[in-house]
Amino acid sequence: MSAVEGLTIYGPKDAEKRAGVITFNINDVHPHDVATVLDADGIAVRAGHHCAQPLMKWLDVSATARASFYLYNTEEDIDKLVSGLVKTKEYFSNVF
Amino acid sequence: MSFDNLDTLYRQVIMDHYKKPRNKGMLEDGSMTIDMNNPTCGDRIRLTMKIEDGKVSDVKFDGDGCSISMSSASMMTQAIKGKDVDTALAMSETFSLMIQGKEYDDEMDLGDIEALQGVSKFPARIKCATLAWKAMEKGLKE
Repeated sequence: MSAVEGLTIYGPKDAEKRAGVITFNINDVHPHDVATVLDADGIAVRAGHHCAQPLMKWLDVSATARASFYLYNTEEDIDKLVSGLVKTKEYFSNVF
Repeated sequence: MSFDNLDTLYRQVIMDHYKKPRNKGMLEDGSMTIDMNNPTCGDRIRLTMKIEDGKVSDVKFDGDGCSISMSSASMMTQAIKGKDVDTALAMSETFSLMIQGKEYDDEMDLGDIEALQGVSKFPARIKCATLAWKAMEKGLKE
């Protein structure tokens, strides 16, 4: 995911210090718009405050998108998410 | 849902209002201020309105949110500026029906707002579109 240009991943980069939850933002695209575009591609992420307003304030962002992985997710799913993120970026650079 | 369907949501006119919001800012002296937010998603709006002789003589909005919520706010301020309070409330009602995909009075000229019709096909985004309108209704009914 970190290979996607314009993507900000929040939290430590060291995998040992993380759970299977990746919170991110992409360029200036609002997370709700990111979630809608990914949804159209069959990918479900959560967007918004995640009931963590103090953290959003600390991160100095209005909202974030979040992908959660579990036992049933495959490497293929991750590749699909990455290509979905690239599509999202392209879609919003076209509409602007 | 296919990727192409997104174009029914993100229409050109919507993105134009998002990129170049109309009536953005705050009115000073003697105007009413309404703050509203959608805590689950983080969108927030501050609407300031000046009511004179039963008309919305001036209106501005400030806020933070996704393309749908901010463009809807921009279009809403443009639509109600200079209108009677009653007309503004009637527009809000029509908008509410439209956004839920219900039948509405298409005789009423909503201007650019009709571009938001596609939102009705995206249930998760309806609340984004209605935020500014709910703030306006709250202010005018007070």
